[in-house]
Amino acid sequence: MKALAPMITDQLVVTNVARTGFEWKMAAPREGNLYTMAMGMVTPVVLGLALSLPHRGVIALDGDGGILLNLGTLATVANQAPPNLISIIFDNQSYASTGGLPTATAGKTDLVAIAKGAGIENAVGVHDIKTFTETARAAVAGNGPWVIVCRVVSEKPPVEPKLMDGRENKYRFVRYIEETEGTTVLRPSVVGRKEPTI
Amino acid sequence: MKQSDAEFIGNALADAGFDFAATLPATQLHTLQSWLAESQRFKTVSVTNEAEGVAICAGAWLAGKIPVIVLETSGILLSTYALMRCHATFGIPILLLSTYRGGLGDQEWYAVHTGAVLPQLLESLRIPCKIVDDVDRLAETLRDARRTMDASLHPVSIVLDVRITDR
Repeated sequence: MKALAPMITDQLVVTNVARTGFEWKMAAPREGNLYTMAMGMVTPVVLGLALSLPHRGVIALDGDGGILLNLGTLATVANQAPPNLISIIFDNQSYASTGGLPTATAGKTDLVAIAKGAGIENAVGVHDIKTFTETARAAVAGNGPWVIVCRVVSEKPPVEPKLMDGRENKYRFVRYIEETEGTTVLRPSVVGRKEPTI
Repeated sequence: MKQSDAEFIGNALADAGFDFAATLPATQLHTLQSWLAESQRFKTVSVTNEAEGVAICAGAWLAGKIPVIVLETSGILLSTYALMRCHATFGIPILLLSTYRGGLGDQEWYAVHTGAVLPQLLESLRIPCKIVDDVDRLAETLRDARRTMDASLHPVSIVLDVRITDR
């Protein structure tokens, strides 16, 4: 997280539940972060962002448990092939936030091979900070989609900062997009029965 | 669904402001899904399951798109986790435009139980629903869906009766 933070400019970042969000908020607190997306939904949500804002970098901070819940999305990412999408999967081989029982990657499952088999050419496994930093720098430069599987150990961060309520987080995230894109996302209610805002 | 109805519904969706679609091929909807995939009025994504599809639509909405997922009745059952944990939790709207497999008049035995629970399922999920059996009423219903989506920031459902999908 600390290695990735300096590479962030205006990218939109969506995080997995629990510690991933806590640690990212410590490393890079900003309005362009959406924390605590549901397991299995992080990379798909980022895919929707990437396809809708093709000029803008979007990053998923996903986990091994999350991506295993929805492996089909790797095939959709491959076939849609948004060059602005990066999915960083922190693979600690466990469901660390819910008791630490092992995921399939603690056994025989290889997420890099699955991503490559899905059709994602830039699927890379990294095991150290130096390789991660080099790979992330290349990914931020473009030519995605990228899937970076980071083999990490399961440990608690030193502090678990409180994250804001999901709705407040969404409003702030959306306002940040509206401001930086010059677009309208929230279309408030109108008095009387009018035509919907297009 | 007749090709002419598919084109009518597709254009009615676009006229109501929808511009992003997720689809998983379905017997009763493939003409509409093909139309959406080829239309310049939509960005259409073919997905691997409906839970993934509604999550992709959530991302599209966050970026300013107006999303619809065009899906089988069973796809609503499959997508309930994502609809609650992603859309309802964060307050993100989406239109579920679905078939009514197992509805009154459907002759497929395997669909009976899926159709039987659909209205109560949507009610339990607090997703407003309208069952439409006349394609001529659909354009106004789609505009109503947009109004409710914008006001509620919650999923909305339109269920297409077999009188539309099977004629």
